[in-house]
Amino acid sequence: MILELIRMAAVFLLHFLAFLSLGTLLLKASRKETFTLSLAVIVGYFAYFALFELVALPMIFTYRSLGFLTMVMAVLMSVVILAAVILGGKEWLRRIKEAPRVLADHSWMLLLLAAAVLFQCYAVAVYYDTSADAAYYVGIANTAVYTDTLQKYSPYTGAALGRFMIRYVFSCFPLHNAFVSRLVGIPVIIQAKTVMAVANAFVANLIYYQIGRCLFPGKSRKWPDLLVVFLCVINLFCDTIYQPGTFLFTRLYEGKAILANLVLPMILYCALRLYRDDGDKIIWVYLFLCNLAAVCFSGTAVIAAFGCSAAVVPLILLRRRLRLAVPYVICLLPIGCWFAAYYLAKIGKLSLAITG
Amino acid sequence: MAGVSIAETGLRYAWETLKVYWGAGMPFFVYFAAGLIWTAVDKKQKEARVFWYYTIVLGLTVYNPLLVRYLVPRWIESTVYYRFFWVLPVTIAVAYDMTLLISKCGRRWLKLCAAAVLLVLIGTTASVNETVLDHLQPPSNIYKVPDEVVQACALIHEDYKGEGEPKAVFTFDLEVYVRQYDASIRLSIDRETRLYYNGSQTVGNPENSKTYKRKKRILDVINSAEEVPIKQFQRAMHQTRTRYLVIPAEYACHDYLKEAGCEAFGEAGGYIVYRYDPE
Repeated sequence: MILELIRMAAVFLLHFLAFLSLGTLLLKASRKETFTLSLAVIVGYFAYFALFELVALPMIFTYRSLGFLTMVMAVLMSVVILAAVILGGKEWLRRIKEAPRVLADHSWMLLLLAAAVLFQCYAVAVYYDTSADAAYYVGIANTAVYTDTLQKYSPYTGAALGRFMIRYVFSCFPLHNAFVSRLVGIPVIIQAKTVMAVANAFVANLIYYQIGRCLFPGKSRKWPDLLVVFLCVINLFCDTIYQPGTFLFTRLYEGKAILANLVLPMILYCALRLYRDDGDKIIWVYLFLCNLAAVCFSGTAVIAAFGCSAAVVPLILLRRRLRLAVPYVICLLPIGCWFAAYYLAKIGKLSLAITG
Repeated sequence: MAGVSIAETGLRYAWETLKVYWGAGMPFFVYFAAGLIWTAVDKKQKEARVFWYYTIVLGLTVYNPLLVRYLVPRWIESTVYYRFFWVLPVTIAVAYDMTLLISKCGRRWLKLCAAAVLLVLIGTTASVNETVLDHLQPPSNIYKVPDEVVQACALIHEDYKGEGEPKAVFTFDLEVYVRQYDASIRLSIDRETRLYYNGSQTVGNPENSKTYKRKKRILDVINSAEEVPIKQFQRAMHQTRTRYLVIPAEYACHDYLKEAGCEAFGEAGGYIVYRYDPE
């Protein structure tokens, strides 16, 4: 048991190393952006799943094995981590050295913040899920590991499929859990329902904190901390099965729960940044990566398009910046492509028959 | 969404769905509306105007009763329309308003009082999520599946000597966990069969399909001890290649299963594990 817990912790840290590395490279590429560890992790999180979707989806339709996907992703991420250590290692050390000053700025509120975040992480780690949807999300990953294939077998019965499942085939997130399981040997169910759920809870709170920083600009870090604490309490008092708070505490390993609690808040964060400075190109990059990652998480990504529109269309109209329509449309492309592929498959113009 | 149909509610569909969506948490929606008014009045809250923009755009589109009346029957499954409510950042806005209110208090004791009042307000006007609070004890195993699943899968693997993977039927309470935990055990009952058998109207109608009828015989025997001729049950087991059954001990079908040639060879918690040999 202790060994399993240590292994889970190591896999959790590996996730954060991957997110931090990708985020560091992206932030380094932007000269305007101020580097912070939390922002790098957030940006890296979405960049990772955007990358994973681009790598995994073609492999599904070319009938590659999970082993091949694992090898490609492992090589890619090794290069990313190495590049980040070389190019951003100094920045990491600088931020770690500044940590005492930053923590002091949070003052005693940091204890409340830590308690709220740790409570959420603990709650999702121990939550004993009974939802039938998990039979798909975890089953498809476990089946991929057992058969060394990508979505060719039913997660429910183990039988070979004649066609890819139209509702799920275009969203590769569950295969990330299969990739990690294959890479490090951790059981899929532990990776999905414990490690990834806790990672998602942690990143969600980082996003809420950054939203707080935007809503309380120039003020003490205590106020964003308090916003995160209040949000934790409010989510705990969301008691219907439909609300994001319920999904956060009970189903945060599922793609749609990530959509509700990470993607949509990230879009709000991008909106707040854009209203401050609509010329900051890196924000549009974040928005694009967020939407591409949304497609990776779930077909419900369509609602992210509405989130994006609610955020950006008023900006275009109020400031009469029609040129912003170009990056706006580009940001919607991933969801548009998903919708087009889904629609074509639904009407039979795109064949999902498994022939390989 | 359960209990809300566009045919019955028409133009009120969005509002009725919203009420079910929020449930006892409807006060949060009221606090959100109050926050919007505060933002409109307080010119210093420039950043928070984004909540107004979201409200207006969504109010004109996916929350607009006229558009919803047209969109939901054609483009959006009514069972998932509620997910559009996720787009409006109500809880984040309410958390912001509460934090802002506290930040406006001058002295520390006033801030603490305001925080306490707001927490009491949340506690008294909304309901805590009991499901979360009831699940704060560590699970009995690291996989977070019933111990019976772990035990039954181990028994099946110890017993199975054939080629390929063993195929089994579990009762629904365990079935959802089996392939999450162990993908080397095949299941005879697929998701659509199970959902339709349990009364779902969203998976089509396989009533006349031979495959469904075969699987239904097995489920009828297990779940309701319905009178299914033994030969038909055996034929269904043979045609689905089912080799194992995992049945709660309190079910009424055990005598029938033994008569049909199923051999009980192990127990997993309160479940009996049967072996069926078609030979």
